Amino acid sequence: MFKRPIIPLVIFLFLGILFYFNQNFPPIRFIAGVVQGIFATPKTLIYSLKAGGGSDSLQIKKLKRENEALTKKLIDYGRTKRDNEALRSQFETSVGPQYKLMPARVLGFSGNFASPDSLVIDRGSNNGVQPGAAVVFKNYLVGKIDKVTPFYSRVFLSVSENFITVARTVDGSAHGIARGNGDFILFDRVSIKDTIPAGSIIVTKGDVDTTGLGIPPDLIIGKIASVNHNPSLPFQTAKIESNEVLSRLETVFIVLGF
Amino acid sequence: MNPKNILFILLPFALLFDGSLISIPMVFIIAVLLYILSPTNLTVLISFLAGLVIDILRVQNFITPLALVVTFILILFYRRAFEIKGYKIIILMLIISSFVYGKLSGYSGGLW
Repeated sequence: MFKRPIIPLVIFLFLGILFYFNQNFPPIRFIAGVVQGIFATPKTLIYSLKAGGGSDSLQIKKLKRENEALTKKLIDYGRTKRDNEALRSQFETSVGPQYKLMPARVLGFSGNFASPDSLVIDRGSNNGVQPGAAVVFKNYLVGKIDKVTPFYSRVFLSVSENFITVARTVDGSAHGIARGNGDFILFDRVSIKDTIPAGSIIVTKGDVDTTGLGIPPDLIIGKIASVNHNPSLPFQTAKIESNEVLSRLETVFIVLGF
Repeated sequence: MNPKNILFILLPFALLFDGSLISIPMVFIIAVLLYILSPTNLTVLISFLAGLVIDILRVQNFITPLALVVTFILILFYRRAFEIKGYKIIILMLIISSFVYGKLSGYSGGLW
């Protein structure tokens, strides 16, 4: 050991501070890209060991598929109903735009093992991914992209405390904000006059910019588990439980825009 | 087999498993243990590089190298100040620093 071991440590401390404050420096991004490229395949394989655990029996899988199909029909019914109302009122059209989707593999996670709050996916800025893009799986909202590097991106899941979006019940009887709360999602800032039926499905209301970047409408966030209704307060809240499958996904889709 | 060699071998596996299969800061813990057993400049360099790699793979700010170096400095100061060669307090420092680092880096709510 050198006589003054503190000197190398101080040098590394300065280097660490340099790296911390210059993350977007091109040479650092280049090195990050190389490292991510090398580790992409092995991390995907290792993550699939974690995601593949807890597989259901055939009967349960069949029931889950039927449940998903019925939920989709319920949302389509809601959209058709709104279309009819819009056409009758002649004020607006609610024909949904076609979004561009990009598949991405999940490489890693952060947070609780059973219920992570963020995922790492193998698509980044080199693939056209931007922060704020929604990540979906079938009709479910998985989360929102928070940080983008050359080949990887981090997705905050809907249960993450960093996640927030506008939401409503599928029949439109209640509007509010869905924010992550660790293990569940909180349906917050719902007017006390609105009705939140227990068991109703909560979908996104839509929060996209002119290029289509953001969270599209009518994506399933979860189902109401319980309602906290106090008539003396101006707002009520409800607990939303998301689909447990979302924490074990191996492939997701990034909404790139129109 | 020498514990240091075992930890050096475990470090690349920790880079693969950390954040993909397990939700504890394996890289951080192994790096600090390495420094406790072998406080050389090579250990600091390898730990720093491992910290950079794990932050690149977890898509987060480069907090791990900073956390590691700060922990190493604290361990060095403690050893110098008290001239103790025992490991009890240092292992306690490892546990506390792992908890703090895990909380700052978004690991499973404090190692559970």
